[in-house]
Amino acid sequence: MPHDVISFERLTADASSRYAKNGWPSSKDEAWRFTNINAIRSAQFAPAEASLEPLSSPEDNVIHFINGVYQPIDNMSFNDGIHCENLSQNTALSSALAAAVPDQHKVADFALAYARDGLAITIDQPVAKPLQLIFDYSGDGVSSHPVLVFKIMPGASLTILEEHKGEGSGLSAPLMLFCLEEGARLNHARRLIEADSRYHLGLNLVKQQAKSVYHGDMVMAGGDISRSETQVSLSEADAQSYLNAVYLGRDKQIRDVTSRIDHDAPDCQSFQRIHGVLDNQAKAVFQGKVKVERYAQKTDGNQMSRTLILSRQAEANTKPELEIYADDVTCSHGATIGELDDDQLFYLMSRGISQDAARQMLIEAFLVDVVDELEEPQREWLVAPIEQWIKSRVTT
Amino acid sequence: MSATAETVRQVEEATGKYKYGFVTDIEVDKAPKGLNEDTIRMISAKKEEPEWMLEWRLKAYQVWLKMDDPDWAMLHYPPIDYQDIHYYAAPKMAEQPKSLDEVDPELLRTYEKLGIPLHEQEMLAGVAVDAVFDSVSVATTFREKLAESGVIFCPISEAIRTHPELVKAYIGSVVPQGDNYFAALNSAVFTDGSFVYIPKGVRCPMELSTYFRINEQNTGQFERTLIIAEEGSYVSYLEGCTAPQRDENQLHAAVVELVTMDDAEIKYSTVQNWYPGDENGKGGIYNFVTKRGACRGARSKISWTQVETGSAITWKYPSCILQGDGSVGEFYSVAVTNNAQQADTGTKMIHIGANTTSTIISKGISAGRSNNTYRGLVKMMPGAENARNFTQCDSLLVGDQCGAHTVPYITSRNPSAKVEHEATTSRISEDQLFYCLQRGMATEEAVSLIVNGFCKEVMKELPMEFAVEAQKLIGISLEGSVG
Repeated sequence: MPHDVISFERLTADASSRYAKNGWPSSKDEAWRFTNINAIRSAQFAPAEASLEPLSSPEDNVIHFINGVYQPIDNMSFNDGIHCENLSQNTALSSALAAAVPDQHKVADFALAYARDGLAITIDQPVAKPLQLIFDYSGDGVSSHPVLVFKIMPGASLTILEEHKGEGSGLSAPLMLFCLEEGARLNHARRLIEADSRYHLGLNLVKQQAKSVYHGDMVMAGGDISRSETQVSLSEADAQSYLNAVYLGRDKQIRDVTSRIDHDAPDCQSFQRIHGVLDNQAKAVFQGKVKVERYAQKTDGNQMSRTLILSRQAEANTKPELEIYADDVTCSHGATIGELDDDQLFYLMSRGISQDAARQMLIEAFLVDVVDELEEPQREWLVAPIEQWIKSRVTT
Repeated sequence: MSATAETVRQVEEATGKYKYGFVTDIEVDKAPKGLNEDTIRMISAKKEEPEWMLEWRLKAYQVWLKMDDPDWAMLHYPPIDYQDIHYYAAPKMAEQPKSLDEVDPELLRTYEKLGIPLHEQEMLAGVAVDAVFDSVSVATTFREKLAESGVIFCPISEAIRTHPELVKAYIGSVVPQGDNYFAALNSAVFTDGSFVYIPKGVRCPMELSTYFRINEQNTGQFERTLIIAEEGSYVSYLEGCTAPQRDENQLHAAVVELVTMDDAEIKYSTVQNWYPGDENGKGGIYNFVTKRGACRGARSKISWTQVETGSAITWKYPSCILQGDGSVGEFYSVAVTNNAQQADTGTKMIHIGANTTSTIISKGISAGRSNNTYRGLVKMMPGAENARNFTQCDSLLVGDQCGAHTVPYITSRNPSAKVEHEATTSRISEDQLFYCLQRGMATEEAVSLIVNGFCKEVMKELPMEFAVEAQKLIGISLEGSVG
């Protein structure tokens, strides 16, 4: 679709003035009614000022970000098929981003308002080796604003391993756009394993054309307040989208998985599976909306969310939403909230497994289930933080 | 009935026109248009209310003035001009009729036309009726018989005078004056409605029923119903509604409050058939209703069953507050929308006590250019030990110009509580339709059959007299939506 030509500079300037006008989301905004981010607002962050020294021996297909600032592009090394430049030098993709940013989205505006530059990455053929995006954060009171736009050309494919880690009490606000052209495929594995003192407000936008496949899998294990929002638009026929997520919360953490899938074309499919575990006084919300437009006949939209509560003080919220205007569709959602199943526990214990071990096994099985069918290396890469979290729960 | 009349009736039924769209020509006593403190004082004076009731109304009015029209529902309608409505309209009567013989025959004829003969001897045995016409209750049948067992069933305006201690103790205790915009409006200007009190241990000997009729032009109906079931008692209550066919929209903002004590049960069934407007969405009732029950006692139960086929706009969430340990809440709903109708309806189940259970079965059917939304809340509070909820909401789309939406909110703050929610959206299966057609059924008949099958789980909850009417209504509401 042709867009107005909007430079990165203009995009950030526009976002900045919208942010100045509309400010920070509050619990009065429907999209934020379950997630109170007053703690983040009151912390008063300053955008990161870091600059990165070139690495002496860069690895292939690895991009390092420190507080959202990336290593110099001429210091990066990629396999054939990956082309990377500054977003400020690629007006086609900065325009695509401008068109994709949702109206009145306060976090998107905040992310863009302080972004200094971003990466525009074009994939023009199948790439076998995964592209690693390593986001490392440090320092207190620093906000990080990485912006990435991917364009996967017709028939091209890519696997991304995206990791957010680091210390301090900063805020990360990554904003990414993935444009999948006809027949393109993207496997997008993400793990959020920042220190428990950090805040994360991420937004992923996915635009899919005919016959493209987006496979998004996330494990959210870190951060004091972590929110991941994904908005998918299936704008041409036969596109498929998978959104799988595992969230893990303890202490007084807040977990927020928000998704929106717009079926704007016929014969598309979307599948979502969200499993979460909450311990101590953790609080979580999954809110997912599937909207099927009038002409999006033969849509298949499925969504399943399950939450396991391990403690008396934890709180789970779910808001699965369907908005449907086409009649020849199959759409469903299911949601369950509860504790571990007594029968399953009894079954394991009757075979001589201790209660603690049995509980641990059941929790692990419940979580790993979401990512179990993934291919390696994504599967192992996503299971590791789940196991890590369960282990640390037992030892503390 | 003569043969010709019978034919006319059959033809009318077959063409699926709104049957209750006639107007009763009767002299009325009306308040001037507009809402202010004087209107409220006038209503209160007409009803010969005690001072505390007037103060309660005025307080509600003050709260309402500070509130905003809710905009979160998936409903689109032009702003309502609250100053363009008559808040009181009553058929002229010398004084409150002592028996049915004193009721204006024109009114009795109206109810007969609606299929609700008020003369007790003509009635289906075992149903007591309170008939509310615009702003007043015109007749309540079987009162003496009910009084024998200690049951109070009378217009609420009368209860305010005769049983002030009961009304004072319970009114606003489930739906406070400031609960929401329309509840506040109702609290300020409510005119009539039914009051039911079932004493301890009494199983109400017959079904109680209220029939609401809006007749007068430019009026709103603001009824208020209060049902109290004392320990160990049981009552089944039915509610029906119709209005004349008019081009302008009329407002209906009701409040229903239910209270159950230990081991008591209230079964509340509604067949809502307000005038839905014409095919182009002109006219029809705006139905903004707050219905809520409090299961105060242990093991008490409140069951809501609703069949919503009428109204241009439906905004209604019959809810249960499950306070007593082991209390039970149920919500069974069928909402049918056709043409330009819009419905945003569902329920709220708030689990407070331990071992509380709730069941939600909602069936939404959209046809024509209508939009039908299920909006629900299930909340498990920290004390809701071992509480259970099961929710199933299914939507059926008939035609490709309508919309079906599902917006459930689920919150759990107790690990031992279990919440399960399922929702599906689909259309009438081609196979089912083909099966019916090849056996010689007409398309509309087949659709009506399939839709009634889709709603079966809810229909079986309705009392028998209502179930038959409701099935017919669903058929009629969908007519013209296929083929």
